[in-house]
Amino acid sequence: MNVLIAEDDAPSRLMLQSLLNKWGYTVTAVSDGNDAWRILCDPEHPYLVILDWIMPGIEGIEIVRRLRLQEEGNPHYVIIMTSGTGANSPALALDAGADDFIAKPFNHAELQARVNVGCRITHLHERLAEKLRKLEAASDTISRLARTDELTGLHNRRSFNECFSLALSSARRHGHPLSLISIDLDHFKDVNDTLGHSIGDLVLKEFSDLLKELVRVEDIACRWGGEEFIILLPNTPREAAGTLAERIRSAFEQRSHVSSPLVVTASFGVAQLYNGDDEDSLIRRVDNALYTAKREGRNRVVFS
Amino acid sequence: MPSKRTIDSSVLNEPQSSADLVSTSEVCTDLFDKDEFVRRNLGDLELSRDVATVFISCAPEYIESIRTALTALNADELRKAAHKLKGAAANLALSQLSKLAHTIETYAKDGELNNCVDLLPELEQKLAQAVEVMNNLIIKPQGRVHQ
Repeated sequence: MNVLIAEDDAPSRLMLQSLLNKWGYTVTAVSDGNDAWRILCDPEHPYLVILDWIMPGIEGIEIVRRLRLQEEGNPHYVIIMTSGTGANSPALALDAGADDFIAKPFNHAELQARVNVGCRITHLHERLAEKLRKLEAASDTISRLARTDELTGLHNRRSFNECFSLALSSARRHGHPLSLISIDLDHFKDVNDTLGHSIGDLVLKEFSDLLKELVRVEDIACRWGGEEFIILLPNTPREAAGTLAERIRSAFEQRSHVSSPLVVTASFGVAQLYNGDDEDSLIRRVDNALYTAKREGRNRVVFS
Repeated sequence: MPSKRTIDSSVLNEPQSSADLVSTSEVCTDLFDKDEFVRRNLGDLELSRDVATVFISCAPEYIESIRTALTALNADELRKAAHKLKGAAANLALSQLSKLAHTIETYAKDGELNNCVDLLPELEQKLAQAVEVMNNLIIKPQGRVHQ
Protein backbone atom coordinates (compact mmCIF):
# COMPACT_ATOMS: atom_id res chain seq x y z
CA MET A 1 0.00 0.00 0.00
CA ASN A 2 1.16 3.49 -0.83
CA VAL A 3 1.44 5.99 2.03
CA LEU A 4 1.76 9.76 1.72
CA ILE A 5 4.05 11.33 4.33
CA ALA A 6 4.21 15.10 4.78
CA GLU A 7 6.95 16.02 7.24
CA ASP A 8 9.14 19.10 6.97
CA ASP A 9 11.97 17.88 9.17
CA ALA A 10 14.45 15.98 6.97
CA PRO A 11 15.85 13.45 9.50
CA SER A 12 12.38 12.64 10.84
CA ARG A 13 11.11 12.22 7.27
CA LEU A 14 13.97 9.87 6.36
CA MET A 15 13.36 7.84 9.51
CA LEU A 16 9.63 7.58 8.98
CA GLN A 17 9.98 6.74 5.31
CA SER A 18 12.64 4.07 5.97
CA LEU A 19 10.60 2.43 8.75
CA LEU A 20 7.52 2.28 6.54
CA ASN A 21 9.57 0.81 3.71
CA LYS A 22 10.88 -1.86 6.08
CA TRP A 23 7.29 -2.69 7.00
CA GLY A 24 6.41 -3.20 3.35
CA TYR A 25 4.80 0.12 2.47
CA THR A 26 5.64 2.22 -0.54
CA VAL A 27 6.02 5.85 0.42
CA THR A 28 5.47 9.20 -1.24
CA ALA A 29 7.25 11.73 0.97
CA VAL A 30 6.95 15.51 0.77
CA SER A 31 8.38 18.25 2.96
CA ASP A 32 5.55 20.77 3.08
CA GLY A 33 1.78 21.05 3.24
CA ASN A 34 1.32 22.62 -0.19
CA ASP A 35 3.02 19.68 -1.91
CA ALA A 36 0.93 17.28 0.16
CA TRP A 37 -2.27 19.03 -0.89
CA ARG A 38 -1.21 19.00 -4.57
CA ILE A 39 -0.69 15.23 -4.39
CA LEU A 40 -4.01 14.71 -2.63
CA CYS A 41 -5.75 16.60 -5.44
CA ASP A 42 -4.34 14.20 -8.08
CA PRO A 43 -6.90 11.66 -9.28
CA GLU A 44 -4.54 8.81 -8.33
CA HIS A 45 -3.08 9.39 -4.86
CA PRO A 46 -2.44 7.48 -1.64
CA TYR A 47 -5.42 7.12 0.69
CA LEU A 48 -3.32 6.39 3.76
CA VAL A 49 -1.86 9.73 4.81
CA ILE A 50 0.52 10.75 7.62
CA LEU A 51 0.68 14.51 8.14
CA ASP A 52 2.90 16.57 10.37
CA TRP A 53 0.74 19.01 12.28
CA ILE A 54 3.07 22.01 11.99
CA MET A 55 4.88 22.44 8.69
CA PRO A 56 5.38 25.11 6.01
CA GLY A 57 2.50 25.67 3.60
CA ILE A 58 -0.84 24.21 4.62
CA GLU A 59 -0.62 22.69 8.09
CA GLY A 60 -1.64 19.08 8.65
CA ILE A 61 -4.80 19.96 10.56
CA GLU A 62 -5.98 22.25 7.76
CA ILE A 63 -5.24 19.60 5.12
CA VAL A 64 -7.39 17.05 6.93
CA ARG A 65 -10.24 19.60 7.26
CA ARG A 66 -10.15 20.32 3.53
CA LEU A 67 -9.88 16.65 2.71
CA ARG A 68 -13.02 15.81 4.68
CA LEU A 69 -14.96 18.56 2.90
CA GLN A 70 -14.15 17.36 -0.59
CA GLU A 71 -13.81 13.59 -0.28
CA GLU A 72 -16.66 11.39 -1.42
CA GLY A 73 -17.27 7.63 -1.50
CA ASN A 74 -13.74 6.54 -0.69
CA PRO A 75 -12.49 8.31 2.46
CA HIS A 76 -8.84 8.78 3.41
CA TYR A 77 -7.24 7.44 6.55
CA VAL A 78 -5.30 10.32 8.06
CA ILE A 79 -2.81 10.13 10.90
CA ILE A 80 -1.71 13.47 12.37
CA MET A 81 1.71 13.51 13.90
CA THR A 82 3.31 16.08 16.17
CA SER A 83 5.83 16.42 18.94
CA GLY A 84 3.05 17.98 20.95
CA THR A 85 3.16 18.02 24.68
CA GLY A 86 -0.22 19.69 24.80
CA ALA A 87 -2.64 17.32 26.47
CA ASN A 88 -5.44 18.28 24.09
CA SER A 89 -3.45 17.81 20.87
CA PRO A 90 -4.90 14.37 20.07
CA ALA A 91 -8.43 15.64 20.67
CA LEU A 92 -7.87 18.68 18.42
CA ALA A 93 -6.45 16.49 15.67
CA LEU A 94 -9.33 14.00 15.86
CA ASP A 95 -11.89 16.81 16.00
CA ALA A 96 -10.44 18.29 12.83
CA GLY A 97 -11.18 14.98 11.09
CA ALA A 98 -8.04 12.92 11.63
CA ASP A 99 -8.46 9.18 12.19
CA ASP A 100 -5.50 8.85 14.50
CA PHE A 101 -2.70 10.70 16.22
CA ILE A 102 0.96 9.84 16.70
CA ALA A 103 3.24 11.74 19.06
CA LYS A 104 6.93 12.34 18.33
CA PRO A 105 9.26 10.78 19.18
CA PHE A 106 7.66 7.74 17.56
CA ASN A 107 7.55 4.53 19.46
CA HIS A 108 8.24 2.29 16.48
CA ALA A 109 6.07 -0.62 17.64
CA GLU A 110 3.16 1.74 18.22
CA LEU A 111 3.79 3.55 14.94
CA GLN A 112 3.79 0.25 13.05
CA ALA A 113 0.61 -0.91 14.79
CA ARG A 114 -1.17 2.38 14.05
CA VAL A 115 -0.10 2.45 10.41
CA ASN A 116 -1.23 -1.17 10.07
CA VAL A 117 -4.64 -0.20 11.43
CA GLY A 118 -4.76 2.56 8.83
CA CYS A 119 -3.82 0.08 6.12
CA ARG A 120 -6.54 -2.33 7.23
CA ILE A 121 -9.19 0.41 7.30
CA THR A 122 -8.06 1.78 3.93
CA HIS A 123 -8.39 -1.70 2.40
CA LEU A 124 -11.83 -1.97 3.95
CA HIS A 125 -12.84 1.39 2.46
CA GLU A 126 -11.58 0.28 -0.94
CA ARG A 127 -13.44 -3.01 -0.81
CA LEU A 128 -16.61 -1.26 0.36
CA ALA A 129 -16.37 1.33 -2.41
CA GLU A 130 -15.84 -1.44 -4.98
CA LYS A 131 -18.83 -3.41 -3.66
CA LEU A 132 -20.94 -0.26 -3.71
CA ARG A 133 -19.96 0.44 -7.33
CA LYS A 134 -20.94 -3.11 -8.32
CA LEU A 135 -24.17 -2.89 -6.37
CA GLU A 136 -25.11 0.38 -8.05
CA ALA A 137 -24.34 -1.05 -11.49
CA ALA A 138 -26.41 -4.15 -10.71
CA SER A 139 -29.25 -2.04 -9.40
CA ASP A 140 -29.18 0.06 -12.60
CA THR A 141 -29.34 -3.12 -14.69
CA ILE A 142 -32.18 -4.53 -12.61
CA SER A 143 -34.25 -1.38 -12.81
CA ARG A 144 -33.65 -1.16 -16.57
CA LEU A 145 -34.66 -4.80 -17.00
CA ALA A 146 -37.73 -4.29 -14.83
CA ARG A 147 -38.88 -1.57 -17.20
CA THR A 148 -38.04 -3.26 -20.49
CA ASP A 149 -39.88 -5.81 -22.58
CA GLU A 150 -37.42 -8.64 -22.97
CA LEU A 151 -38.22 -9.63 -26.56
CA THR A 152 -38.55 -6.22 -28.19
CA GLY A 153 -36.57 -3.88 -25.95
CA LEU A 154 -39.56 -1.52 -25.81
CA HIS A 155 -40.99 -0.23 -22.54
CA ASN A 156 -43.01 -2.88 -20.75
CA ARG A 157 -46.41 -2.34 -19.22
CA ARG A 158 -45.07 -1.43 -15.78
CA SER A 159 -42.85 1.27 -17.28
CA PHE A 160 -45.66 2.53 -19.48
CA ASN A 161 -48.02 2.85 -16.52
CA GLU A 162 -45.45 4.87 -14.58
CA CYS A 163 -44.80 7.19 -17.50
CA PHE A 164 -48.51 7.45 -18.27
CA SER A 165 -49.43 8.65 -14.77
CA LEU A 166 -46.67 11.27 -14.78
CA ALA A 167 -47.47 12.47 -18.32
CA LEU A 168 -51.16 12.68 -17.53
CA SER A 169 -50.75 14.86 -14.46
CA SER A 170 -48.20 17.03 -16.25
CA ALA A 171 -50.57 17.48 -19.23
CA ARG A 172 -53.43 18.43 -16.90
CA ARG A 173 -51.29 20.85 -14.89
CA HIS A 174 -49.90 22.66 -17.92
CA GLY A 175 -52.96 22.30 -20.13
CA HIS A 176 -50.90 20.50 -22.77
CA PRO A 177 -52.43 17.99 -25.20
CA LEU A 178 -51.61 14.29 -24.79
CA SER A 179 -52.47 11.41 -27.12
CA LEU A 180 -52.30 7.64 -27.21
CA ILE A 181 -51.93 5.28 -30.14
CA SER A 182 -53.14 1.73 -29.57
CA ILE A 183 -51.87 -0.87 -32.04
CA ASP A 184 -52.65 -4.52 -32.81
CA LEU A 185 -50.96 -6.58 -35.53
CA ASP A 186 -53.54 -8.01 -37.94
CA HIS A 187 -54.09 -11.77 -38.16
CA PHE A 188 -50.98 -12.31 -36.13
CA LYS A 189 -52.29 -15.66 -34.91
CA ASP A 190 -51.94 -16.92 -38.50
CA VAL A 191 -48.22 -16.08 -38.51
CA ASN A 192 -47.68 -18.03 -35.32
CA ASP A 193 -49.84 -20.92 -36.45
CA THR A 194 -48.39 -21.35 -39.94
CA LEU A 195 -44.78 -20.21 -39.51
CA GLY A 196 -44.19 -20.91 -35.82
CA HIS A 197 -43.61 -18.73 -32.79
CA SER A 198 -39.98 -17.98 -33.54
CA ILE A 199 -40.96 -16.32 -36.83
CA GLY A 200 -43.78 -14.59 -34.95
CA ASP A 201 -41.22 -13.22 -32.52
CA LEU A 202 -39.12 -11.92 -35.42
CA VAL A 203 -42.15 -10.06 -36.81
CA LEU A 204 -42.76 -8.51 -33.38
CA LYS A 205 -39.14 -7.42 -33.23
CA GLU A 206 -39.28 -6.01 -36.73
CA PHE A 207 -42.38 -3.99 -35.85
CA SER A 208 -40.81 -2.79 -32.60
CA ASP A 209 -37.69 -1.64 -34.44
CA LEU A 210 -39.93 0.34 -36.76
CA LEU A 211 -41.60 1.99 -33.76
CA LYS A 212 -38.25 2.90 -32.22
CA GLU A 213 -37.23 4.40 -35.55
CA LEU A 214 -40.35 6.52 -36.03
CA VAL A 215 -41.30 7.83 -32.57
CA ARG A 216 -39.68 10.91 -30.97
CA VAL A 217 -37.39 10.53 -27.96
CA GLU A 218 -40.05 11.86 -25.60
CA ASP A 219 -42.63 9.31 -26.79
CA ILE A 220 -43.05 6.06 -24.86
CA ALA A 221 -43.47 3.04 -27.13
CA CYS A 222 -44.61 0.01 -25.16
CA ARG A 223 -45.35 -3.63 -25.85
CA TRP A 224 -48.66 -4.07 -24.05
CA GLY A 225 -48.63 -7.82 -24.43
CA GLY A 226 -48.82 -10.43 -27.25
CA GLU A 227 -49.09 -8.51 -30.49
CA GLU A 228 -50.50 -5.36 -28.85
CA PHE A 229 -48.58 -2.13 -28.56
CA ILE A 230 -49.31 1.32 -27.19
CA ILE A 231 -47.56 4.65 -27.72
CA LEU A 232 -47.79 7.54 -25.27
CA LEU A 233 -47.31 10.91 -26.95
CA PRO A 234 -46.88 13.83 -24.55
CA ASN A 235 -47.48 17.35 -25.91
CA THR A 236 -49.26 15.91 -28.97
CA PRO A 237 -52.78 16.60 -30.28
CA ARG A 238 -54.78 13.82 -31.94
CA GLU A 239 -54.07 15.03 -35.51
CA ALA A 240 -50.31 14.77 -35.06
CA ALA A 241 -50.78 11.39 -33.35
CA GLY A 242 -52.91 10.26 -36.31
CA THR A 243 -50.22 11.38 -38.76
CA LEU A 244 -47.61 9.34 -36.88
CA ALA A 245 -49.94 6.31 -36.74
CA GLU A 246 -50.51 6.52 -40.48
CA ARG A 247 -46.76 6.80 -41.11
CA ILE A 248 -46.13 3.66 -39.04
CA ARG A 249 -49.02 1.82 -40.72
CA SER A 250 -47.87 2.50 -44.26
CA ALA A 251 -44.18 1.93 -43.48
CA PHE A 252 -45.04 -1.48 -41.97
CA GLU A 253 -47.28 -2.39 -44.87
CA GLN A 254 -44.72 -1.43 -47.48
CA ARG A 255 -41.74 -2.90 -45.76
CA SER A 256 -40.85 -6.26 -47.27
CA HIS A 257 -40.81 -8.51 -44.25
CA VAL A 258 -37.60 -10.48 -44.18
CA SER A 259 -38.88 -12.53 -41.33
CA SER A 260 -42.23 -13.62 -42.79
CA PRO A 261 -43.43 -14.50 -46.30
CA LEU A 262 -46.93 -13.51 -45.18
CA VAL A 263 -47.98 -9.88 -45.49
CA VAL A 264 -48.49 -8.57 -41.97
CA THR A 265 -50.33 -5.30 -41.38
CA ALA A 266 -51.41 -3.42 -38.27
CA SER A 267 -54.53 -1.59 -37.06
CA PHE A 268 -54.40 1.65 -35.09
CA GLY A 269 -56.64 3.53 -32.65
CA VAL A 270 -55.86 7.16 -31.78
CA ALA A 271 -57.27 9.18 -28.87
CA GLN A 272 -56.46 12.50 -27.23
CA LEU A 273 -56.89 13.25 -23.55
CA TYR A 274 -60.09 15.20 -22.90
CA ASN A 275 -61.28 17.03 -19.81
CA GLY A 276 -62.84 14.47 -17.54
CA ASP A 277 -60.68 11.62 -18.85
CA ASP A 278 -58.72 9.52 -16.41
CA GLU A 279 -56.16 6.86 -17.29
CA ASP A 280 -58.76 4.11 -17.65
CA SER A 281 -61.24 6.09 -19.71
CA LEU A 282 -58.56 7.30 -22.13
CA ILE A 283 -57.28 3.75 -22.60
CA ARG A 284 -60.87 2.54 -23.10
CA ARG A 285 -61.46 5.15 -25.79
CA VAL A 286 -58.25 4.43 -27.67
CA ASP A 287 -58.98 0.68 -27.52
CA ASN A 288 -62.51 1.26 -28.81
CA ALA A 289 -61.04 3.16 -31.76
CA LEU A 290 -58.70 0.22 -32.38
CA TYR A 291 -61.63 -2.27 -32.35
CA THR A 292 -63.43 -0.05 -34.85
CA ALA A 293 -60.33 -0.15 -37.10
CA LYS A 294 -60.36 -3.95 -36.83
CA ARG A 295 -64.11 -4.12 -37.52
CA GLU A 296 -63.84 -1.83 -40.50
CA GLY A 297 -61.36 -4.11 -42.25
CA ARG A 298 -57.98 -3.69 -40.44
CA ASN A 299 -54.76 -2.04 -41.70
CA ARG A 300 -56.10 1.41 -40.94
CA VAL A 301 -56.04 4.28 -38.44
CA VAL A 302 -59.25 5.22 -36.60
CA PHE A 303 -59.72 8.23 -34.30
CA SER A 304 -61.72 8.04 -31.11
CA MET B 1 31.80 14.48 30.69
CA PRO B 2 29.77 13.06 27.90
CA SER B 3 32.49 13.65 25.36
CA LYS B 4 34.87 11.42 27.33
CA ARG B 5 32.40 8.64 27.44
CA THR B 6 31.83 8.92 23.71
CA ILE B 7 35.47 8.15 23.02
CA ASP B 8 35.25 4.96 25.02
CA SER B 9 34.37 2.87 22.03
CA SER B 10 34.31 -0.43 23.91
CA VAL B 11 30.80 0.32 25.19
CA LEU B 12 29.40 1.58 21.94
CA ASN B 13 28.22 -1.37 19.98
CA GLU B 14 27.24 -3.91 22.57
CA PRO B 15 24.25 -3.82 24.86
CA GLN B 16 25.41 -2.62 28.23
CA SER B 17 24.48 -5.04 30.92
CA SER B 18 26.86 -4.07 33.69
CA ALA B 19 25.52 -1.79 36.39
CA ASP B 20 28.67 0.30 36.19
CA LEU B 21 28.14 1.12 32.52
CA VAL B 22 24.49 1.97 33.06
CA SER B 23 25.36 4.47 35.74
CA THR B 24 28.19 6.09 33.79
CA SER B 25 26.06 6.28 30.67
CA GLU B 26 23.28 8.24 32.34
CA VAL B 27 24.65 11.68 31.54
CA CYS B 28 25.37 10.60 28.06
CA THR B 29 21.99 9.01 27.28
CA ASP B 30 20.37 12.23 28.42
CA LEU B 31 22.37 14.01 25.75
CA PHE B 32 22.14 11.24 23.16
CA ASP B 33 20.68 7.80 23.82
CA LYS B 34 22.39 5.85 21.12
CA ASP B 35 20.78 2.53 21.96
CA GLU B 36 17.34 4.02 21.96
CA PHE B 37 18.06 5.77 18.67
CA VAL B 38 19.28 2.59 17.01
CA ARG B 39 16.32 0.69 18.42
CA ARG B 40 14.01 3.26 16.88
CA ASN B 41 15.65 2.50 13.56
CA LEU B 42 14.85 -1.18 14.11
CA GLY B 43 18.50 -1.93 14.90
CA ASP B 44 19.56 -0.83 11.44
CA LEU B 45 22.97 0.84 11.93
CA GLU B 46 23.14 1.89 8.31
CA LEU B 47 19.82 3.71 8.59
CA SER B 48 20.80 5.18 11.95
CA ARG B 49 23.93 6.63 10.40
CA ASP B 50 21.95 8.04 7.45
CA VAL B 51 19.40 9.69 9.74
CA ALA B 52 22.15 11.12 11.98
CA THR B 53 24.00 12.42 8.91
CA VAL B 54 20.89 14.20 7.68
CA PHE B 55 20.33 15.65 11.15
CA ILE B 56 23.90 16.93 11.30
CA SER B 57 23.59 18.50 7.87
CA CYS B 58 20.38 20.20 9.01
CA ALA B 59 21.92 21.53 12.26
CA PRO B 60 23.00 24.95 10.88
CA GLU B 61 19.54 25.36 9.36
CA TYR B 62 17.80 24.67 12.70
CA ILE B 63 19.84 27.35 14.46
CA GLU B 64 19.62 29.76 11.55
CA SER B 65 15.82 29.69 11.38
CA ILE B 66 15.59 30.25 15.13
CA ARG B 67 18.07 33.12 14.95
CA THR B 68 16.26 34.69 11.97
CA ALA B 69 12.92 34.54 13.73
CA LEU B 70 14.45 36.08 16.86
CA THR B 71 16.09 38.88 14.88
CA ALA B 72 12.78 39.61 13.17
CA LEU B 73 10.99 39.41 16.55
CA ASN B 74 8.62 36.98 14.87
CA ALA B 75 7.26 34.94 17.78
CA ASP B 76 5.16 32.65 15.58
CA GLU B 77 8.05 31.74 13.28
CA LEU B 78 10.24 31.25 16.33
CA ARG B 79 7.68 28.93 17.86
CA LYS B 80 7.55 26.86 14.66
CA ALA B 81 11.32 26.74 14.26
CA ALA B 82 11.79 25.65 17.88
CA HIS B 83 8.97 23.11 17.49
CA LYS B 84 10.67 21.59 14.47
CA LEU B 85 13.99 21.22 16.29
CA LYS B 86 12.16 19.81 19.32
CA GLY B 87 10.56 17.07 17.17
CA ALA B 88 13.76 16.26 15.31
CA ALA B 89 15.79 16.08 18.52
CA ALA B 90 13.13 13.92 20.18
CA ASN B 91 13.15 11.44 17.30
CA LEU B 92 16.94 11.28 17.41
CA ALA B 93 16.89 10.57 21.16
CA LEU B 94 18.59 13.90 21.94
CA SER B 95 16.49 14.62 24.98
CA GLN B 96 18.43 17.58 26.45
CA LEU B 97 18.30 19.37 23.13
CA SER B 98 14.64 18.52 22.68
CA LYS B 99 13.79 19.84 26.14
CA LEU B 100 15.64 23.07 25.55
CA ALA B 101 13.92 23.57 22.19
CA HIS B 102 10.62 22.91 23.94
CA THR B 103 11.40 25.63 26.51
CA ILE B 104 12.10 28.09 23.70
CA GLU B 105 8.92 27.03 21.90
CA THR B 106 6.90 27.68 25.07
CA TYR B 107 8.48 31.10 25.63
CA ALA B 108 7.84 31.97 21.98
CA LYS B 109 4.20 30.93 22.35
CA ASP B 110 3.91 33.28 25.32
CA GLY B 111 5.71 36.04 23.41
CA GLU B 112 8.63 36.13 25.85
CA LEU B 113 11.30 36.62 23.27
CA ASN B 114 13.89 37.96 25.71
CA ASN B 115 13.98 34.64 27.48
CA CYS B 116 14.53 32.99 24.11
CA VAL B 117 17.48 35.27 23.37
CA ASP B 118 19.00 34.28 26.69
CA LEU B 119 18.67 30.59 25.85
CA LEU B 120 20.15 30.84 22.37
CA PRO B 121 23.84 30.34 23.36
CA GLU B 122 22.90 27.26 25.39
CA LEU B 123 20.90 25.90 22.47
CA GLU B 124 23.84 26.37 20.11
CA GLN B 125 26.10 24.65 22.57
CA LYS B 126 23.71 21.70 23.05
CA LEU B 127 23.29 21.28 19.34
CA ALA B 128 27.05 21.35 18.81
CA GLN B 129 27.42 18.71 21.52
CA ALA B 130 24.73 16.59 19.94
CA VAL B 131 26.48 16.77 16.59
CA GLU B 132 29.79 15.83 18.14
CA VAL B 133 28.36 12.93 20.11
CA MET B 134 26.50 11.56 17.12
CA ASN B 135 29.61 11.88 15.01
CA ASN B 136 31.54 9.90 17.56
CA LEU B 137 28.95 7.29 18.39
CA ILE B 138 27.11 6.68 15.17
CA ILE B 139 28.96 8.01 12.19
CA LYS B 140 32.63 7.28 12.87
CA PRO B 141 32.35 3.80 14.42
CA GLN B 142 30.51 2.40 11.43
CA GLY B 143 32.23 -0.66 10.07
CA ARG B 144 35.02 -0.58 12.62
CA VAL B 145 35.71 -3.81 14.43
CA HIS B 146 36.01 -3.31 18.14
CA GLN B 147 38.41 -5.45 20.12
